[in-house]
Amino acid sequence: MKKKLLEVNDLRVNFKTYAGIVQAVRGVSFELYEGETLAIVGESGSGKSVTSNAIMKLIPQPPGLYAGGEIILDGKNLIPLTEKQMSKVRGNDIAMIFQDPMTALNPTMRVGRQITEVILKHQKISASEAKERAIKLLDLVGIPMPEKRFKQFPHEFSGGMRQRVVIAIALAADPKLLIADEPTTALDVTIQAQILELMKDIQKKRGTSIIFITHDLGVVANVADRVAVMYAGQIVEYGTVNDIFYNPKHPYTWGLLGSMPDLKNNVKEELRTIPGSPPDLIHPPKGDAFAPRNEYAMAIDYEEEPPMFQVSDTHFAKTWLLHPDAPQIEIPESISRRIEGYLKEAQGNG
Amino acid sequence: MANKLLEVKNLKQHFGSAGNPIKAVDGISFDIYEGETLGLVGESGCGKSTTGRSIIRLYDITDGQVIFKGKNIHASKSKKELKEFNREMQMIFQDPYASLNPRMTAGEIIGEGFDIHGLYNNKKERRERIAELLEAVGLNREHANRYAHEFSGGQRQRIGIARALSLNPSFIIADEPISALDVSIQAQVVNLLKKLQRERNLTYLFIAHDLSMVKYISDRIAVMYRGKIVELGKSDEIYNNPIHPYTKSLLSAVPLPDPLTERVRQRIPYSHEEIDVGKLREVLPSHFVYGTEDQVKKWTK
Repeated sequence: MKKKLLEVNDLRVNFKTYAGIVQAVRGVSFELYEGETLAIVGESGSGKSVTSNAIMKLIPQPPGLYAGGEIILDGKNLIPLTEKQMSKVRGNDIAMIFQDPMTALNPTMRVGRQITEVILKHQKISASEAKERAIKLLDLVGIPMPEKRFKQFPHEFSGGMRQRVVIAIALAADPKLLIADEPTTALDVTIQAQILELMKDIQKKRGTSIIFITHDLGVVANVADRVAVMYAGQIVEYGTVNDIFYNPKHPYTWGLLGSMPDLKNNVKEELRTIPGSPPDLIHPPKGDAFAPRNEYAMAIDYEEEPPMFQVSDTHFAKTWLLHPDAPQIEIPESISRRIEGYLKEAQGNG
Repeated sequence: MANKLLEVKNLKQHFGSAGNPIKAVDGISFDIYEGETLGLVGESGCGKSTTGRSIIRLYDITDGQVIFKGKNIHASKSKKELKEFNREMQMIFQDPYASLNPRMTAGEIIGEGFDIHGLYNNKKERRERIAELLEAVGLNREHANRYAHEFSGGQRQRIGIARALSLNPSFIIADEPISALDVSIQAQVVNLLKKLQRERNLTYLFIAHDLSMVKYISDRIAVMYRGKIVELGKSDEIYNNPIHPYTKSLLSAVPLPDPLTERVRQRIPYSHEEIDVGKLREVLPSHFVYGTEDQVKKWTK
């Protein structure tokens, strides 16, 4: 059995705005084991980035507020920690990679110093040792000629190379947990593929646990061991990557999968869309937040919030459709056909 | 075979000084047929957006010809001709936040073209036409009096589409129209574009970096790399039987929502070889690949 590194229990984060209190994260629970990658998928406003920022305790207070729950890293709850205690956790235990590598780097500082800065802050070693480590890190993240690159400024790097530098900085203090918030969204697809390979490679070498925030299901299928699908500030489906992609149970997950064109099976039918738009989280709807956009919604969906139903040992979904008394709803044909196609091909490939 | 609506011949768009130009588009040729969607894909900086903007005359081209309905549009100079051309060809932009004037209502944005072209001078007629356009893109007529900030990203893109449709164009250049949108909203906009194409017999040049959506929406695909079209053909053909090594590399990098495939994915790296005398060669019926004769022979083996 793998060791649990992080446990998030019933996390709630609110933001105070002029219009009222936005309940951005409404009771999120998940766990992360050592050396695994958990992908958090969802659309803008689903609360996925707020969740990851909350783990880093990067929510500005005010307007933000930790309204409840626990974030337990290695047995220690991070929520009550002071800013000073937290700054020791950041970088050392948890590091973060952001979407835009240009704004994450300091344009007036040489790349090398941005890495040694982190090393020197967290470890008591000499400057020359730190430099040596930084060059090793640049080499680890696949930057050619690291000695020369060490002395350069961010503008001398391409987008993909900058993201590698950001990853090197994140790895500088050898964190146990890496949170990557849409790290490849701003990159071209060939560069994206390289960065994903790099992250998997580093994980293998160092045993780092990764939380990977993204809206791209293709990327999820590529990197994740387990997946949490978020909607309106809650996790609506949670399971292994195979559970989510080959046996999805929540209608929102069906909607997300159906919104992507089916390339392999060469079907040109109309894309399944999720009608409407996400709810206003100042006044979250009563019952199931997804109900107004759910073609399978039942009367109870508008009355009472569904619990997490257990599908298997690893797989959970928050929809009344899984209640024993609910009508048997089959997964939409266009998606089941697609999944069958994928599985058949995988079998064919051995 | 459908008629050629647009012919691009040896289009060049260079920026910077004449001594050391940046060759954003470096001699590309292709045709677009009536009623089809041509997808133009490539990575940032390959010249795909510049191509679109050159075609619609947002830039003065360096060299070459763009022939639309038999007329060279970069040669016609009279105001009247230009206006006529502007009615025929419209553009949808990537960023639904930057492309709408925040001080104008949706109705004013959509109706701006009417003022320029002196159409629908009757107030009631104009209001009706704007309402009709709003409804065509899945919004409702009450939205005409709202400002851009009151809409979500997907709704804004719908306003951008309504504006592009307002003058009844036959050809629309869509420059990354869905890149800034969420997945489920992307699907809504793509379905809308397809529906409008069927109803109004529109022709699209669909510029994007997302190969999966391009494959889905396009009849044919042109792959661009460093200012040149390296491969052009039917979209299934490009996807299932890529020949140029760059296309192969690009396709091998697109992640699919299929974990079993992703676990065994092998990315094919591409290393660029500089060549002087390459040209687009037809390797299979209407499947073109850019390269020297030897290269193409090697690739098709």
